Amino acid sequence: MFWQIILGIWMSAVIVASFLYMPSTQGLGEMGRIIVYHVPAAWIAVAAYLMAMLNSLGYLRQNKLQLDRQAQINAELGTVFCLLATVTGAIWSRGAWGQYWNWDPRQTSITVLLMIYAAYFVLRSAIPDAERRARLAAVYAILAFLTVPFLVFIAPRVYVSLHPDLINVQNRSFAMDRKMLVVFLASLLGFTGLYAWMYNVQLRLENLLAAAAMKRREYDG
Amino acid sequence: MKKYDKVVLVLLLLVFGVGIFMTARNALSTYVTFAEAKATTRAVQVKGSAVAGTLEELDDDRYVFLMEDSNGEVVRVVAGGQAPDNLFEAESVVAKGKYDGEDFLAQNILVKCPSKYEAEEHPAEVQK
Repeated sequence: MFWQIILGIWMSAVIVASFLYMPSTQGLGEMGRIIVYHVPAAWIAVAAYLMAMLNSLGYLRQNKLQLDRQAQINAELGTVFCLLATVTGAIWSRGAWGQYWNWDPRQTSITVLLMIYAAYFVLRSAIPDAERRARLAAVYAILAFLTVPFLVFIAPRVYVSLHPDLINVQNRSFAMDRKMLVVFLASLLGFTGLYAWMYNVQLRLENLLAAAAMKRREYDG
Repeated sequence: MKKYDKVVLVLLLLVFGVGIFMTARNALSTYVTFAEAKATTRAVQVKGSAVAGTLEELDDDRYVFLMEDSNGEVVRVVAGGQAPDNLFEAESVVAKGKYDGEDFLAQNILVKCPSKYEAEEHPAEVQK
């Protein structure tokens, strides 16, 4: 309970700071504040998908269903954060570019990414046998993650996009106002904590469901 | 893992990778030049910048301005409604529509604001 309260206070402070402490951005004005929510959401999505891949590799090595459950939860959380990044991006794009959706390379690539992971869940739901489902899903999750660096980091920088770049590859620079950077990093930490908490709750739930299913089978058998 | 499995896996990865790359090239090239816009009858998105001081309001609730694409080609763009406030300050402008042989008829004009992650200077503070 202690950590949840700390996290609650931390995120509330980040939200308040993003409006009151952080200055408005050159060019974007008040719209620049979205960076505090949109970018951490996208980064956590990538981190969760990476964890899903690592869990899947672990499953193929050790054949423990626990690892399959972890991979599933990470893929779910990755998709939740990916959706948050997409929606916040679309809202921002309405203000900054004039339209919610423009099929900008950023928007196209994140849509492809969401569909790739949607297929992961379709695959899982199509296979009733737990062992077989875990093995196929693990292979798919590893393949799916191979597209992430391309879709998230490379494509929008190679193709012409209207999306702002936090890290300017051409000038090899990372420039951000100090106050902005403080709030941004605090938010990144908060989002990571939020992800860790959601992951733990989900894992406990999935483990209990698995244990309950096992008991039921023993009882029936 | 059997040797056969490994070969299949590598092949799958290759097909997957090449497939993604080929699909991506078309799907991700959202913005074109005027030269490409002239070559097609489909609605396209041309990216460029508005030439300063060329904005003209027409009587029928439309406006025109000159736009220069990344190849330096300048074309007259006609669009409906009200011109975006920051049309000329924008880092780039995207015109969505068709080339009609003379002008580029835009259904929408999108603007990219120049964004630096630096604090905005407030005029009040600057004056002090």
